[in-house]
Amino acid sequence: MKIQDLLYYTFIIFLSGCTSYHQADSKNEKLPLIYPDYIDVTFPVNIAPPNFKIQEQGEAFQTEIGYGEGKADILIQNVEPIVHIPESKWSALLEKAAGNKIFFRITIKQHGKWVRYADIQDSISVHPIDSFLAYRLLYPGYELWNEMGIYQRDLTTYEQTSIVENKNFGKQCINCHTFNRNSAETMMIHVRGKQGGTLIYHNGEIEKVNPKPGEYKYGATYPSWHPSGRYLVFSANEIQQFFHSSGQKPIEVSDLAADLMIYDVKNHEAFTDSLVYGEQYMETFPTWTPDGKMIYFCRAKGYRQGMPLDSIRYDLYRIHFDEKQAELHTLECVYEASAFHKSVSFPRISPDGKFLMFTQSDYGNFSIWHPESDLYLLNLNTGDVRNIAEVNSDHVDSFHSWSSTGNWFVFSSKRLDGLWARPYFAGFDPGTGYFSKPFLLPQKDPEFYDTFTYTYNLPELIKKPVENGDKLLKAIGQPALPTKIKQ
Amino acid sequence: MKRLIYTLFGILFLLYYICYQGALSHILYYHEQHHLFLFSKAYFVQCVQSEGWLNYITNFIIQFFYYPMLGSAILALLLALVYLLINSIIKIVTGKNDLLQLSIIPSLALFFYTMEADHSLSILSGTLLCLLLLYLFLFFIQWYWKLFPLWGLPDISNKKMRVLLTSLFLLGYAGYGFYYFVTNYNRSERIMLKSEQLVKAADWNRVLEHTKKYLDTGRYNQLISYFHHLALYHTGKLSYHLLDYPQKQGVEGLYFPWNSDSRESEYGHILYEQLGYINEAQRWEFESMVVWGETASHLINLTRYNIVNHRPLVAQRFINKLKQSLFYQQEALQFEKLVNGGEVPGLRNALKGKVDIPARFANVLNIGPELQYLCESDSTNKMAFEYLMSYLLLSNHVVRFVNNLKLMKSFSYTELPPVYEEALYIYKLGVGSEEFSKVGIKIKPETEQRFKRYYQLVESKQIGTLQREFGNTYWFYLNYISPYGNKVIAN
Repeated sequence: MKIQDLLYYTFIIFLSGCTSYHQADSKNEKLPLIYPDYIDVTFPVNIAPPNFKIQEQGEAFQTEIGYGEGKADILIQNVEPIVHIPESKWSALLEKAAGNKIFFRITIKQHGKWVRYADIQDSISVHPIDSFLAYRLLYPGYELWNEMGIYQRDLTTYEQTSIVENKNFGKQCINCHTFNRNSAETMMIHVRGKQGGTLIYHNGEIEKVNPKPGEYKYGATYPSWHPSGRYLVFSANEIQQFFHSSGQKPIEVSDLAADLMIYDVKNHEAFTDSLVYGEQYMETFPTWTPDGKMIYFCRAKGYRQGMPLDSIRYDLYRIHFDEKQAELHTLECVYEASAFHKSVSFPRISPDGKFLMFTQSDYGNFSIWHPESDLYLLNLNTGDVRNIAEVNSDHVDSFHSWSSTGNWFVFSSKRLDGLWARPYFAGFDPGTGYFSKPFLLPQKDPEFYDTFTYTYNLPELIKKPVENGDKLLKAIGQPALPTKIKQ
Repeated sequence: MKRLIYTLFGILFLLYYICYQGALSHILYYHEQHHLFLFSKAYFVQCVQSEGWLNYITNFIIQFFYYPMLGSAILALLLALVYLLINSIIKIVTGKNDLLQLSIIPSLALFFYTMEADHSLSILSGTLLCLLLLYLFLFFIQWYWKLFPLWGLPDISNKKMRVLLTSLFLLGYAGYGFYYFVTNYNRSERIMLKSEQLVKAADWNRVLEHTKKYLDTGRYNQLISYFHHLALYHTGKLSYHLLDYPQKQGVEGLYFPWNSDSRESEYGHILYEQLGYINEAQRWEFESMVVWGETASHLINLTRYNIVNHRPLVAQRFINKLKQSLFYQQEALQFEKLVNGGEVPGLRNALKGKVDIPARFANVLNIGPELQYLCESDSTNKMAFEYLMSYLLLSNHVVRFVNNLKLMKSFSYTELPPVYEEALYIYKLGVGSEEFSKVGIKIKPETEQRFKRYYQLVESKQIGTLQREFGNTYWFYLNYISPYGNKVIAN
């Protein structure tokens, strides 16, 4: 074979591998249905490609993705209605389109003719999101468990790595992973089981501690880091599960008792105050303000035998913290949700300290099992509270955490099916106090969530990945350091 | 010799096949019910990461146990192949035939290992895979490297002697194999698993046959008792034969209280489903799935429960999983047609339409209040009624039993079951005739006569006769069997 022939055939083969652009024969003015819903959302400039499935009938599908009026940057053609966006091209497009809108132009071959649908418009924020999302994956079960783990997902790609998996330590339970101001360098995790304890990673050291002094009645449960990293505030709860006899709500997880306590990471000491400790009230879900001067938390009247669980409602309170004296003082009610027959859980304050986001449900505080749960925003300057309607859905919208910049937040929503919590992200404009339409965590396979039967628990944005998984695992095997009461 | 090897291979295959089709059929059922292979990338990644390659391959094999004949043939073939491969390896390594047929031993050992239901079959697939790789390695290496035979084993030139030796050893294997099989065969496990299989197939008469086999031995097992009561109810015998066997465990033979026990979690849903108590059935089944994984039965039941509980999107997730399996795909497609309808043939939500305001929570430790609640919610729920009455009788709650007798009117009982009448007579003796007349039910004279005879025997301490004549009466249960003492509990 001559060299010319070889080149000719190579060229033919190359051409046959190229895609030819399909001009539309007609237009359909409606927006195409796509799954997940990535229509009119705002993406951070560093997010992985939001692959999706076109939910319109057709024999072949063409998707153009571009920016501005010009030619599309990305052309994807497929006989299946699946759109896999090339990662490098997507990344380049986002960089170019930051602060502007991009379009998804979908043309579908229907009955032999190419029909172009209205362009899907999405915005690209100039603000990047923290690159990693940490979460626990487990079945949305009740009391028993088997395999579970805490994982981190690189939001700029699809890569998920494990932080710690319970298959490596006798399938004991792990929960309540908590970071200090989105930093993987100050974190804690509870381990429940025969090697139970709390793993605290701080100043490059890992300790396994039991933050509950012997004199305290209940064990440390829901934590929050003081911004200095010196203290952890815990609620110490006695929690019980109850199962609805009928209806679609399967379970109620209720406090039977709850108090607040502060753990001094440096001295292995704990202390509290009668303002937040005692049987008269139940205090839970504490969170520190970014300046570390106050703790916001939820408070309800103490549980009494025979009290209907659907009468337990939590208000939003705060208590001042004097770091120098290491003491709590001055208790204030911030939002009396119970007056409206509502209940508050998971208060979380924006990094600038101006807004507090919480979940509101009809009663109780374990809002992840309450379909009526919605996210609310309290403006800490004005005291105004509003339903974040632009984010909420008909299903559970619950556990949430802010990004390190406050321009993004992640929350758990069961809007896809009502049972499995999935992480959704939304942009936030601190100037207006409004959010963009939330979008689902992108996956390489757009049908991923259709068969994924684990739930995403406690999604937390972190700036860098946790890289001490091996050390955490090693620390689990160590005895827990005891805690004494601060004198 | 070659003919002998293939003959032995055939005999082994046949023997194994017969065992898996007969005495060990429950083993195949157990594995099939506890593993589900899915044709998806996500399943591959998840299975390989959490369980390993070997389990992925094993699960692939186990899916064919869906058809017991096919499953038996595959398992028998794999075990027989172990013999064949080892035999071939011995031949390559020693350069001689396996005169003593030692290669049967690993095959037999693996077969015996599979006799216990909770023994993983991955050891078989792993062994087979290793042997296959070793065989292929040796097979190819022998062409390039004159390494074999490794040992110069002496030849036995006398053919008769060879035949004799081979025969003797084969007889030995057969004899020991038979002995081991008989002495290690787990009959209780078979009864339990066969009963479970029959319960799931709603073959109640055969469930009774199996559970009676167990109970006739005088032993007690909560699961057997649980199945026995279910079968008694479904054959219309619960009220009449409740006390045929001594109910030493009291009410716990009727149901599983929630003990956070992973093994028990597999069974609790059965009773609740049949009672129409869907939320509780769903809870038990989900707990079980968490522990035992996404098996077909869990996915199917969770699909069904979520359809009737009007959670079609949740049901669809389980259907999506089932659709990725080879043998449950069609069933999944059938469910997909029902997913938005809120109805599943053969499944009833006894609390359908019940408004959960104020919220009512199930008593997961004690089924008594739940049965009462079901009866109050639906007066036609006969199963809830009979279980409630059984529960009250077995827990010595005679007064509450009598108070609930009025619910009988909703059902077509032609006469009061003897056990009920015996309990009612106890009540009569306790409250006097004026109070008793409010019940509106008369005690038959024969029952009163029988009680006189019972009382005489008690007084004369003729326990043997008493047990023989009255062992299945409520009087005897209350006085001698009940774990809650021999007194009626008033409240």
